Amino acid sequence: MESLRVENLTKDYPMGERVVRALDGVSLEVVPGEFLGVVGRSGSGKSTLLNLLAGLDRPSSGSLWIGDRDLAQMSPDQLAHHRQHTVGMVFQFFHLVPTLTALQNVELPMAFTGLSPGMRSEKAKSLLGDVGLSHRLDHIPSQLSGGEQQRVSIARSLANDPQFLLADEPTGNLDSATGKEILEIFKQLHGEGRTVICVTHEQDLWMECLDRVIELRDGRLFREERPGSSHAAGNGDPGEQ
Amino acid sequence: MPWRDVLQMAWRNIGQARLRFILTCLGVLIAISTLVALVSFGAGLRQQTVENLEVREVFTSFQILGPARAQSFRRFRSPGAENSASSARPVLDQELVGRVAALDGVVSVQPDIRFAVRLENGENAHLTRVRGAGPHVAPLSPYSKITHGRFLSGTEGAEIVLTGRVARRLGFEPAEQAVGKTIQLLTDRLKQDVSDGDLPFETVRLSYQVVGVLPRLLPNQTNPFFRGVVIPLEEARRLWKENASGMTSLSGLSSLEEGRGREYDSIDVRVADLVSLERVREEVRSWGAATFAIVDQMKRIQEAFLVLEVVLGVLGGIAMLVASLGIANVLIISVMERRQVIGIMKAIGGTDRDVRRIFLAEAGLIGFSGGVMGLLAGWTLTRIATVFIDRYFQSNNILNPPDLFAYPLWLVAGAIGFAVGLSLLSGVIPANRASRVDPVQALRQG
Ligand SMILES: Nc1ncnc2c1ncn2[C@@H]1O[C@H](COP(=O)(O)OP(=O)(O)OP(=O)(O)O)[C@@H](O)[C@H]1O
Ligand SMILES: [Mg+2]
Repeated sequence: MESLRVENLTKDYPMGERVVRALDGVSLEVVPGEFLGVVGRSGSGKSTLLNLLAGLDRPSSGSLWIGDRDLAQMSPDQLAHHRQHTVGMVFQFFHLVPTLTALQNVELPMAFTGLSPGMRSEKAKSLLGDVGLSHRLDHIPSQLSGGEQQRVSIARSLANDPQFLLADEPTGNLDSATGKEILEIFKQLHGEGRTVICVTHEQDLWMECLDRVIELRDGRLFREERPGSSHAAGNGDPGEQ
Repeated sequence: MPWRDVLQMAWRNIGQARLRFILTCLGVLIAISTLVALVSFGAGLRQQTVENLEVREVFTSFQILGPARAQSFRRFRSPGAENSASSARPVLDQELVGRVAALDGVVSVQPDIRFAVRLENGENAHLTRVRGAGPHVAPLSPYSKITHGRFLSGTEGAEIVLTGRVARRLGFEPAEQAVGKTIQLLTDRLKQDVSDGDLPFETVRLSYQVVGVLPRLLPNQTNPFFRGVVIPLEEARRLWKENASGMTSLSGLSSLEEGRGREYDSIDVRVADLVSLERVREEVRSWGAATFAIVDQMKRIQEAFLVLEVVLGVLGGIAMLVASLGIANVLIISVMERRQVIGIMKAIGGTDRDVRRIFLAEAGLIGFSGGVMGLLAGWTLTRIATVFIDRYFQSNNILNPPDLFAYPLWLVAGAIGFAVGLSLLSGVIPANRASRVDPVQALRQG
């Protein structure tokens, strides 16, 4: 199990002549097996941080260490390998391939890693069984409810046994009851030893299982809190909010 | 991602927009079917020419031409025929036959015997030329194509093979009725002793049995060496020696009178192989003789058809170019539509290469499907055309009409390969675009 270390991470997006600084010098360490919540207002840089951790995008400066490897220095192929094997992503809008069945969606990441068709299908079925969707294997996303789609996408994120689970508002598009079910699945995955980093607006819902919450504000790490203990620490004003 | 999965993904994507796929394929289909029909026409024509003349003997034989034949063959502009008028030309007599026969690699030397005769069948009479032939020409076109009766059985005997036209002139209707009938052959002969004021000729009348009738054939189905009415070789040689018809020059007559013997119109030379052909021909030519070999003509015909095929191919190629623009267009639209799915694939571990390959595979599949369907469509088109062409030939009394379209393996493989290749090429730009889609942007738009 490797730890994740973010050092002075900055991300600029060019906007015509100006640049938008989506992340501004964020430093952070996530220990193996931690359940980290990321909160903050819209536009504060949460998704940007997650995409950088996922290796979907490259930082403008700073570094992202997974063990002794720096994502910022990786080749495109190495980044793809990182996305295939080290992280799994879950999105607010599920982002399933609309033309593929639940089973095929879960098999897809394993196709990218070249797993044999027989093993793929076996693994995908077992993963879908774990999230309670054994009876929906051949449904395409539009034939599934939001909660079911999110379960498929969770099963997909686990296809290649990643150590890190990166979720961007996984319950943001679901009613609270369904959100709770999804939350339970995440709890269980965390219990199995995975490191979970979850962006959320619904702090109340997630609070019970988070080891730590960080709040971003204007691209900076504003506040850090450990819900279990009563003390909070951060580089912002702990009294605010 | 393994190729198997890439193809499967591509195939699934294509199935997602079936109508668009079919329409794009249709463009390829039209181009390929045009191309295939046109090129198969060229290939068919060439095969006709080559196949019907493609008899070993034809390629390993040449003719030494006498002055009259050299004149008539001049249109082929065979190199040897050009100096035919030169005075150093050797006389085509038995001595020359001996000289040629002595050359290395020569298999047989046979003077070509032909002369004019009058054929009679009761009331009907017809003037024509006959030539002598042995059974060795039986496998050659047109004799191989005898549909009624058979070819001559040997080099001796009172047998004759007619052409359909001559048979009809002699009152046989239909022509095949002539088979088995006996007709008269009249020829002039030099008198042994000529008294003053008398013609030096007398007419002999001989009976021949018609053993076969040649069908009417297209010029490209016949061998220019052999056509027309034939009688057995030795029979012909005997008659020809004394025959004076066609001897328009006084020198010819005087040579007869002087007992030097008549000069042959031409001499057929057969050699062991193509290499010997060139060598022997070169030698004979160095004696000043004019020669003609069918290989000269073949080269020219093949060149002509090659040009035809290239021109037709270019036309089809332009059609294919238009089709590939269509493919590129459809794929670029498809890339824009599928930005999000591309983003998803990259987010869950797809590489740029995987994405590029999926789009290339789609292009390839369109090309392959269009190519195969185009091949079938083109083939169907030419089959339909053949039905009409055959009907036309038959109404013109041409038996065994040629198949003008051919589908050699290279055409089948080439058509599909061309369709796939060009489609892949038109998929390069869309595929590269797809591979460059920024997943962060693409997913943001979800
Ligand atoms: N591709 C881009 N081009 C320009 N600006 C961008 C781009 N992506 C993000 N930004 C900007 O960067 C900032 C951070 O965006 P980000 O998506 O990380 O916010 P967020 O915290 O995830 O917000 P939300 O809660 O609404 O999802 C925003 O101001 C956004 O406008
Ligand atoms: Mg966001």
